[in-house]
Amino acid sequence: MTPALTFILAGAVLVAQEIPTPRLDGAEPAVRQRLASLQADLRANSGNGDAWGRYGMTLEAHTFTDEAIAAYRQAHELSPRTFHWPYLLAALVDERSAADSLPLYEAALDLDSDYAPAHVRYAEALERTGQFDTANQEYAQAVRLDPANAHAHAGLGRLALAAGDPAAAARHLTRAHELAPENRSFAVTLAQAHARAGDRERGQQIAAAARSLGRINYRNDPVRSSVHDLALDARSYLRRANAHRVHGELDLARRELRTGIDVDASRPELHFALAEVLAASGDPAGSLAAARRAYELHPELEGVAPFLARALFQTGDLSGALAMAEEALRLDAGDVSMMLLIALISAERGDVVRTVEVLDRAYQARPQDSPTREGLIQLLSNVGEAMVGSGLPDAAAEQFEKALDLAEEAASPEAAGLRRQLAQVRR
Amino acid sequence: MPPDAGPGTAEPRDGSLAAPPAVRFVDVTAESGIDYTLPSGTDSTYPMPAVMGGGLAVFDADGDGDLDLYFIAPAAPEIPAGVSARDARTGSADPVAAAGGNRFYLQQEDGRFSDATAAAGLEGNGMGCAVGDLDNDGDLDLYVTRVGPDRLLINDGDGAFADRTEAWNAAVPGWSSSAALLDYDRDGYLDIYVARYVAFDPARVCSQHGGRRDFCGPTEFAGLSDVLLRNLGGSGFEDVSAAAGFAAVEDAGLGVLAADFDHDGEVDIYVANDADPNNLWIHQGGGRFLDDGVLQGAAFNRWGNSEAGMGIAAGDADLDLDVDLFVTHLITETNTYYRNLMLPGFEDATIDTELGAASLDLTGFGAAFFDAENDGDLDLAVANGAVKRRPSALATPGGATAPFPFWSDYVEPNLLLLNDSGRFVDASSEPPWPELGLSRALVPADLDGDGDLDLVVANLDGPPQVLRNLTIDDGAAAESAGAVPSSIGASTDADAKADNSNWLRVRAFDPRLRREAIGARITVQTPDGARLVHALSPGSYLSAGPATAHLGLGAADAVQGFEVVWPDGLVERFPGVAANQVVELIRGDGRGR
Repeated sequence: MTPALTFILAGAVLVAQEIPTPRLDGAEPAVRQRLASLQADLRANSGNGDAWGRYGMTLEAHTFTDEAIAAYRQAHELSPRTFHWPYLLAALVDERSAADSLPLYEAALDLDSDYAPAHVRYAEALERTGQFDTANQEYAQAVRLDPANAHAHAGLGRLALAAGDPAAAARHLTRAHELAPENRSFAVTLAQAHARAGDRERGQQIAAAARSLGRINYRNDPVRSSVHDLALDARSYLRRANAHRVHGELDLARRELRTGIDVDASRPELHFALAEVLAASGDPAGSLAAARRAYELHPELEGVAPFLARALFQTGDLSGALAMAEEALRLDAGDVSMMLLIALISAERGDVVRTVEVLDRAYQARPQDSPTREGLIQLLSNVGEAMVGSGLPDAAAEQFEKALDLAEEAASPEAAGLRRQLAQVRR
Repeated sequence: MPPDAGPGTAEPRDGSLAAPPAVRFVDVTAESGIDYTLPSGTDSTYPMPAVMGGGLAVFDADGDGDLDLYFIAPAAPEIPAGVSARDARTGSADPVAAAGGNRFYLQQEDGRFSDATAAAGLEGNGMGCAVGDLDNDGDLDLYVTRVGPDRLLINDGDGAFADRTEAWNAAVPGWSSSAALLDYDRDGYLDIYVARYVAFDPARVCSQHGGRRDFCGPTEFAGLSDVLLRNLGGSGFEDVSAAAGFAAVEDAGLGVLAADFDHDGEVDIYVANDADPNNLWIHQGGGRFLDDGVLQGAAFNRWGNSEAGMGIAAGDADLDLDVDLFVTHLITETNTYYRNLMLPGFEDATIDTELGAASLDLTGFGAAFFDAENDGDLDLAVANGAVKRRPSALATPGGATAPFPFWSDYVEPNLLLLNDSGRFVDASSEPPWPELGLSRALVPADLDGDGDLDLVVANLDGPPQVLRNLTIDDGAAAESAGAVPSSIGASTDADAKADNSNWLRVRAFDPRLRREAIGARITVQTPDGARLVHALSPGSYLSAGPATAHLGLGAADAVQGFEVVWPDGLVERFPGVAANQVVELIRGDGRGR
């Protein structure tokens, strides 16, 4: 077949190529408009590889990964001389299959062999597929191109450690650690290399310091960063943040959420997610502020009022916590955890009537999840003991009976103790 | 087996004229008498314990010589599967499937199982359990972990259990997950290490992808410190966590395993943490432990990342006479194989063993190293099921629906990975492996006593799976050209084994303690070289199994001898025996070294 015929046939196939269209349920108008505009552009220029590539980048920025892969493939076929398309395609394919990404990285590097981040990603894919020698060459090439590339130094260190040369590993990883001191992965691998090389003390020092580091893995990769910057909506940032949270990458989640808030500060779910991440990161003040903002924007957002009530309680604002817990209970009358919080605060304030009233409501709700039920049993028991101390045995017995009922229902070992307390009170 | 060969093929192995046996498993649950759906207790509030639970114990509860089953359910007995009090009030509940709670099955003489939950006093709910003789009276007791105070259930010898939680001071609070038994102080009584998960708050709402509610993950809550209960002479426990060094470390622990990883004579502890670095607690002596996971290469994966550690498999996978580890993880993370280098230390050898690819799209929980074909090396079985909605739901084979519609976006297939000279080949293409479910605990055990290891899998809101290993049956059928038995009761005579699937079961027994010597290290001299096995209850995830070690021997019809390192340090040698039997190595009967 002549090249011309191949070209024509390829073009025929490409003309017939459908534009990959993601499900846009819940997508924001700006995203819909942007994608619609790019699709119109594609329909008018279906043979334009760069148009397909731009569409792919926008899809990827909004986490429509399957559609982005299809668009990048088309872009690469139509514009085989453009580095971006095989590279961006390789990076996405790599997330699912390192082996499948290898020829795509190779195609990209054939077009631009001077882009160090591509050598690093290619090397990592080679490493994941067990091609350690070639991976080593690629990491070394990345270092030659960009001596400040921490990931390339770290790759050389990992390979040296696996090859049984901890001294060489320590040298490479020390350089990586110097270039990216915030990166916990480099630090802990360096600590291991020192220990393996016989310097446990140095390893312990580095490992101890690494405990305070989050799971951060920043890369200097302008081509991929340019995709990230195309996101127009808060939802994309929330999605990426949630993905980071699943893997414990709270620093990265926080960064995504803050960037998302910069893009659109009116989205309460972003503020609420930030509040949760900050709480998990040990920043109660920041968490409280973010939760307050989420509540201001959407008081009925699921979970925000109880979260805010607990956050206020934890910071010692009992009045605020009580008001918010009452509000949360108004929104969800069956939320036993809020009943317990109200009971706890009322008890602290000496409001026995309110305490007993709300505990009875919680008891009637008969919570089935263990922590809530155990909490209720504990509170009923505490209130019973307080009533005994106040000389109110009948009222105390009533509380113990409820606690015992719940404990027996759950086959809780607390039941035996409650039985004894009840018997004593009755005597 | 070569990579392109599926299960059931018989290709010559390198260096051996004999063909390896076929590896087939058949699901015999339906005819086993087990009619149980393990209730998660999930509902529209997405309670996190519902997606993490699903425990299992496989043990001889009544001392009659066969193995019984105890399933642990997150849902309390009063809650029907899939229905919570809140859903019942609001009318948003899915149809009731079955009554909730744990379920205990006794194995009958015909190999079938009968429900004996109430008679045994084993009602209740929980997460997982550990099994061992805690009072050294010759029968197996139970420690049940829960979201809330754990329970201690002491066996009266006939398979009935009494709750001694309070009397023994065993009520560890908070969310306990897996537990391991060990005699760290060498006083002859088994202590309990309890891995604890997170300070769960049921009111926390978690969502996915812009608002759709889903189960929370561990990073939403603070981790909990683990607990070590010291056994006070078989009559109670003392919490020694602080003195041992555990109290200051608060991680989200799920899987736990106790073994002497560095062969220094002291038992160590490995904990798989969910999103936190794993702990490798090295016993320093004197009851003090030091977490050396980072420096010994077992805390993070090759890339220096902590992963979502769930279950642990342990065994000498590379046949170099030490304990290697395998930890299961979340979707988008591979499961990780930590090869013991005895430096001391481990290395992540997932890539070298080709164990990564099969697990990248799955969320692993229970896992076990076991010799599926009795060919002398350790294979792997992995139980899977997502904890958050998958990016795309998997298609159910044969058009069947998920056991409970709620889980249709979560169900996944399980894995069988066969060891081929140190590399693992995915052999999961044939039933029952591709069937979708939400699997958690997984325990290998020879339920039918025919000499190969069967598997029991606990599935959330679905029936358990009793997977009968047909290795011995297939060998016998090949010899007799008869039909392959497939029912649970059709146990083949062990003498009618396949020539290439000889086996040995090794029980290390200490008569002074009237129980198996948990932690004993046994080196077996076989014609193919030395093999290492342990007297350990395979913990995996929320589970416990028999402590009697199983060893595949391939074509070897005898072993030349045994060396046992008993938990108290005594080393004894025992003479060789013929294959295909249970051999009991009794402390004091061997020859001292």
